Amino acid sequence: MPPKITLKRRKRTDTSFEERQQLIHEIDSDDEEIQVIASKKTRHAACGDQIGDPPICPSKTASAREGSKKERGKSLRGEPDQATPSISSVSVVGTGIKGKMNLQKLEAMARATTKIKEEYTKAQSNEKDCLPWVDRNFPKDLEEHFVHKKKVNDLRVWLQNSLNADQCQSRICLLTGPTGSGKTATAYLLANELEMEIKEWINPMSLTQYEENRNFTDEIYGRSQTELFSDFLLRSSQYSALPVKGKKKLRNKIVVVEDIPNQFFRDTEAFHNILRNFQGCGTSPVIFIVGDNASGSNPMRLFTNGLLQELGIVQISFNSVAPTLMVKFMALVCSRENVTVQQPILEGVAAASGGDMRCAINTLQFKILQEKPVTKENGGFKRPLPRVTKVTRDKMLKSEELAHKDESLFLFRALGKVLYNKRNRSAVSTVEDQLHKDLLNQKREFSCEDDPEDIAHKVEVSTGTFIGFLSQNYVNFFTSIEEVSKAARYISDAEVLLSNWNYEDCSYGSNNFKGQDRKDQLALSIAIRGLMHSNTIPVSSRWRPLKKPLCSDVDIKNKQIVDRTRHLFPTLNSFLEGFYHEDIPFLAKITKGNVLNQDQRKLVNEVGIFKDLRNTYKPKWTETLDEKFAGDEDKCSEDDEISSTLTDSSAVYGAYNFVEIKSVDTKATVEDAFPEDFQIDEFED
Amino acid sequence: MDSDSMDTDIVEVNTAKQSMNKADVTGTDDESNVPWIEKYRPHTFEEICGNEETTARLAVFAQTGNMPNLILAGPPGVGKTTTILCLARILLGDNFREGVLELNASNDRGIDVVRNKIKLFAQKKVSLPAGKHKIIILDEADSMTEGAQQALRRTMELYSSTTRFALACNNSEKVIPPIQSRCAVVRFGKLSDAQILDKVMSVCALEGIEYVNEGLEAIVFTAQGDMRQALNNLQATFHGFGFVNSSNVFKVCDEPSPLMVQEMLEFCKDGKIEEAYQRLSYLWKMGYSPEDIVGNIFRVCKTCKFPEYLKLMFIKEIGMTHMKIADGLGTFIQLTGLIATLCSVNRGDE
Repeated sequence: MPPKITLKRRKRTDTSFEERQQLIHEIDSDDEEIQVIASKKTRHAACGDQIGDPPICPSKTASAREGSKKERGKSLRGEPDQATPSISSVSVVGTGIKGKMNLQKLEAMARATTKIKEEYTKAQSNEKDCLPWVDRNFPKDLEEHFVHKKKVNDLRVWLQNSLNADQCQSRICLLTGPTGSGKTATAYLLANELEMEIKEWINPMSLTQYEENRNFTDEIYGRSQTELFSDFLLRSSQYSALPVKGKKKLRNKIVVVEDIPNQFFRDTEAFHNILRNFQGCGTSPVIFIVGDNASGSNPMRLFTNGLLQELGIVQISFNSVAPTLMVKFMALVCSRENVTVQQPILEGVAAASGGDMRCAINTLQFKILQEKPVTKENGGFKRPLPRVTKVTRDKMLKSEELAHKDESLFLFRALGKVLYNKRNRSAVSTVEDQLHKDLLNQKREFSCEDDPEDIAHKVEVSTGTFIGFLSQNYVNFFTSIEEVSKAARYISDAEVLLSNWNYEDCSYGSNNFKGQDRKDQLALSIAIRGLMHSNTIPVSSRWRPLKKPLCSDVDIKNKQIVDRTRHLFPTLNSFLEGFYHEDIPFLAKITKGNVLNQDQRKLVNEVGIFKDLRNTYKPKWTETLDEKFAGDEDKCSEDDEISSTLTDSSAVYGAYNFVEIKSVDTKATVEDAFPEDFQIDEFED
Repeated sequence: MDSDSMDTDIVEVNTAKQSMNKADVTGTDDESNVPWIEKYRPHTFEEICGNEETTARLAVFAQTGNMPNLILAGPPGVGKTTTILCLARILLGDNFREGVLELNASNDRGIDVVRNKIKLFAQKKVSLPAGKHKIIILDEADSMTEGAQQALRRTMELYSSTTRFALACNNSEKVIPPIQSRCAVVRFGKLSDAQILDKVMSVCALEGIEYVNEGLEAIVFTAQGDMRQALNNLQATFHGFGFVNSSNVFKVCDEPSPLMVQEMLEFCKDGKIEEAYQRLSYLWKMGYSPEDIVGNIFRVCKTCKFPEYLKLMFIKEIGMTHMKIADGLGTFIQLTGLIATLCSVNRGDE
């Protein structure tokens, strides 16, 4: 029945719209090839064009066009491809008979399609205008890519190894890292460079209801996402895309999964089984791209340590982009978009986005965009006024920047206002006389320069973060210990207010926001007023560095551990108070037998064994706060070279993970054996 | 108190007649039944109050098109949805109806909606001029489930050539990081009292409302920087009483009268517990919930002209009581306890 068949086709290719787009592209790619042959030179395809296109259909490939051109040289001569895939440029143009025939045919087609091409390029340039900056300015090649070279190389090594059948290492790679750190971009660029075809899994639309135990033979009816995903993974690696005219097949494929089906968060075992299956019979490598944020349905949860080790999955963790690289890339983007931006603004945007490239470019686009320059279509009617626009643009930028600063107090300035506690020496406040005579020591003759409520109102970060910053930094700004103790009391009051409310379910119900809001206001008001009041002799307004709160790191870690524990010990009641300081330390002592699996063992060792805190605990005093810091709660971007983790370096270069497993085991047993008791004693001292 | 209410009663009768007449006159007009919040919803960027910087930015995008995906974050009633609708209206012009998909929390927004409805809309072909895009407005995005947000993130990228997303939310931290990363975050601040007053007065002029200044002050106080609430309260007061003065406003909004709370706090400052208790028990007998009472005490206290130390201690005590009440101890004795503590602060006994 026709309607059902169309339905199925939809599922496969996702959309008819994409199909159309794809066809257009195929016409285009034909065309480009002809040009290449005609001019007898290889031209580097502008892959910026393709990347913007939605890489949806399994058969549509991001690297198809560029790769096909290069490969054509080889395959036309009919030679079996023995060349290693790392050879990146093959500039030989086919000269065999078959090649000539193809050439003539193609030339004939070229004439026919010139018109189409013209129309298409026009449409395409329009389409390119339509893309947001993030997509339009996708890095063209690895040269200008903003990810650290070492990480790129890690992935390249893995990809190259995965193509070699002899080195039967894992076919699964896991890219982790914060959002906007260039995970996807790196994967696509590398695939391009290594001439690989990318197939990406996109969660399909479920237009029909899936029923689990339905007894039917017609497979067109709803199938579960799990089933579809498993099919995709196994089949995409076995079968190549349909040979569409004009598109040369790429020999190698990689499968990219970024959009993990929701079902697996409920049923991780199903996911693991699919991966095990795949490890057994899959042929092409798979890259999973997951972000690591500490939220509930964190995809990282699917990849337990046990699974990573069992299947030998290679994990490459990206770091957030270093500020210098960000500024460099943003400058490139600006030059491409024909806007002039001062360096400080770029630096500001980079700092504010906290190492998130995509976010930075979005912000940049939002902040910088000016009146549209006169386009060619309108050019005849409107006279372009280059000089005038240039000046006004600069002016505009400046005023904007200033306006922005006034509008929303940057975290830094808000902190400074509270901590330096500037008093208005000229305005003696009259209301202070209302204080009782016994409370004269509490009298503050001069009123604050800024109203505390005003500061509270303009703080952009969450209340908890702001109070965290205050409590991290206030001590340096006080001159007497008595006042510090008072201030500490107020901060503790504020934190009590902040933490203990169960507004979630009671009293305010759906109007939760207001309750939350009021609670925040109360806490903030107390913290700010308390600090400003108790500090009678503030330090001179000499510059003092501000630090990020240590406790936020601890909080994040705490959250992660709780999350992991609940996941790994579903049977135990981890909500009980004693669980973490009684049950887990005792579990850590049980070394023999198969009480715990590998993941659990690792967690228990991590949480339950007290290390010598005097040696391991090093406060990061170096993390000073930058003026433009906008309150990103993630950890700040580290220098890439320093923070290459054990997992990725050993895994990638060693190709086997046994080394790592062994080292983990020995570490665990050594710690179990004796130093632990000793250390606990010390800890109790 | 009594004479006061008498006065207002008389005024009420008079103005009620007037408003009756007016209703007769305008009864044929369709617009008379429209909530003012809709009737006076701004349609151009110039009309939007507050957050001038942000709206100016967005106005540029309305002209040039090609905006990035946006997250509009801010408290309720500051014009997030209005702004984005303005943008869409100007950007899409006649295609507004077919080019915009608006989903808010009342729509079902599970994973399947993101997967099907949003994707179908994103794939829909709408012929638009170059640089213009279909816009999907997801109101109250922070109430979307995390799974739905996860499903959204790749969709946003795949259709970026044809569709842009605008997410409005109160708390941008509840939007998952991958989505935040794909959007430019635009923050909206609370509207200042002056901005609200301005708008309220202009509406009063347009509707021909009689008011006294205290009435408008009361409207602004109850609104707490929320324009929607201000206009709703104004309309309710006007339709209920036909005249805007403070007692009418507080009858409509049914909040503990801030004037009375202020008196109470003044007495607390002077340590006069009997007088303060009278005010409190009056409020209690009026039937206000303890949350409302303590919440209003806090808001009044913030604006009072007290010595710094007193204000700090007052706020601290109020906060503690607020916490107890929120935990379920909403009894009268907690409130009287608060009064007693406040009275003892300025006595210097400690």
